[in-house]
Amino acid sequence: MTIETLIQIDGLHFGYKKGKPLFSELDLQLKGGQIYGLLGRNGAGKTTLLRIISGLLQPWKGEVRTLGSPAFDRHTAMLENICFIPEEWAVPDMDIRDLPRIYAPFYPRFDEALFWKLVEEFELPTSGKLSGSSFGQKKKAIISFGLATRARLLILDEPTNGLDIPSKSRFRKIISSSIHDETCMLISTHQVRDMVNLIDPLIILDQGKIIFQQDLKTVAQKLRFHVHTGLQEPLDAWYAERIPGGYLAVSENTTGEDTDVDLEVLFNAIIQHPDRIEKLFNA
Amino acid sequence: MTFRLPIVRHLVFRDLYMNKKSALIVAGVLLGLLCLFGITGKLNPGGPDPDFHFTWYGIFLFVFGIFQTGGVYTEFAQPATRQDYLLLPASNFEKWVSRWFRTLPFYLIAYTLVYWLASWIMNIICIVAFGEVYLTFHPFQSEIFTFWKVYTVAHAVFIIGAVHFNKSATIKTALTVLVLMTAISFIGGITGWMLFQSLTEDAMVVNPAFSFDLSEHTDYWLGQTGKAILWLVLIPLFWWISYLKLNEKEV
Repeated sequence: MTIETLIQIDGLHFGYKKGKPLFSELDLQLKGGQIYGLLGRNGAGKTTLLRIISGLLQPWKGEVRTLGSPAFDRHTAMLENICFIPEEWAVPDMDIRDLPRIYAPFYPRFDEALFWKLVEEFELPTSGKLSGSSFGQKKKAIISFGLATRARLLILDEPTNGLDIPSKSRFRKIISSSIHDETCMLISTHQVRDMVNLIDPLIILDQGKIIFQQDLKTVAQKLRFHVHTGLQEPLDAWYAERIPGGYLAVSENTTGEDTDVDLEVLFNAIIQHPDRIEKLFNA
Repeated sequence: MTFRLPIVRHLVFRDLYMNKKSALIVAGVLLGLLCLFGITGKLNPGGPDPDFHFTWYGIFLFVFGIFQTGGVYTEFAQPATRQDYLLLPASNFEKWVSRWFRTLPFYLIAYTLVYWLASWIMNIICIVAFGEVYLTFHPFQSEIFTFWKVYTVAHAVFIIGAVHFNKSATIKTALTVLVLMTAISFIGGITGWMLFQSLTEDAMVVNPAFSFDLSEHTDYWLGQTGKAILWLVLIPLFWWISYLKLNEKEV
């Protein structure tokens, strides 16, 4: 069975100010059955890219097709299958019980039983005004609703911000159990440690370009993540950061050793040595 | 251009649900003011003002209607709420139709009904206080439909402003209209002066450079053509522009 391409971006040009493009000739293809992690520094254009994919911003040039149709056309078939949970969202001033009543009719595959199951899993109150809830509770309600829409494309911008520690692990569990071949998730985050064992492949955006797009299996084959004890930085390290008693380092995997990928270390290594990383992965 | 009636119905229902508090407040204000003006009018020794209902029906219709139409896309003020609305799974046309329906036919009927009820409550209060009604309001009169027509023209302008401006749309639209009207009046004045060599009606002499006669017949047809252009071209065009602007809306 062939896995469908859900997002296809070819030659995207976009910027907020004339003459100052944020993206130039950006290409990207995202397929079903994956939970993509989108990482980048502040101002790299992650949220902008998510908005372009959702049809909230019009590209200057190039083609952006989401679920088979031009994103900015905002076709109903596309909107019914997208759930975009941004970092800052508007919670309607309504009782949580009214949320499915008011919004579910717009989503043909909305699963109310799933919504209430997720509400229970997130330990949310089953009645009461959403506007009076805490930031984390509102976010959990929005995530529950988003998953219950059974949208094929779930876009999450900083989803773990505001979630407490038990909710973060519940979030990972719920998200990983929601993915199947016909769906795709795109998670943009700075909280990479919250996304361990969840996001794969990884996309890194820097200065308006995708500088890295690999699955974690390939990363583990090419790079070795290790703790180096001692005061001296390991000589073979491409990137190392100080930890109590030594260094957390990443080096080229010349031994074939299988190590756990540390997303934060990997990100920093890529940002510091993009050319070296590109050479290694494209060899 | 997708159009599904059940989705438009859900959009209208969603809007009414979200705005139920402000609608009740407006109805309360209308009732309160009408009672106040009615009782004040009753106490007036000069007797009831025969134009009482036409005056206040018209004023309230325009004030509430223009603020409602100008603020119909109130969610555009914040990126988060704008995004929530734009990503709602309905076509831009369905979204536009639902807001057009809410601010025009629905508003006109609902407002008239509320005004009619408020006028009854005012009269009941007058019966209790003074032993007789003040003035009864009859909604099925030609003057009411004239108000509706004028409101429709204002609606066509203010709905463009509502989509175009993200914040304070009503005030910005009113100011834009004011500037445009001033510019049009200025151009009209200059054109009038060129044609008639005067800006006053009593000295209307056609400039010999323009050799045509403005007979009564021509005058009538000019009026009819103007009306036809307004109702068949300009108002639908303005509505269409507001729909196109919704298509272009970004976050």
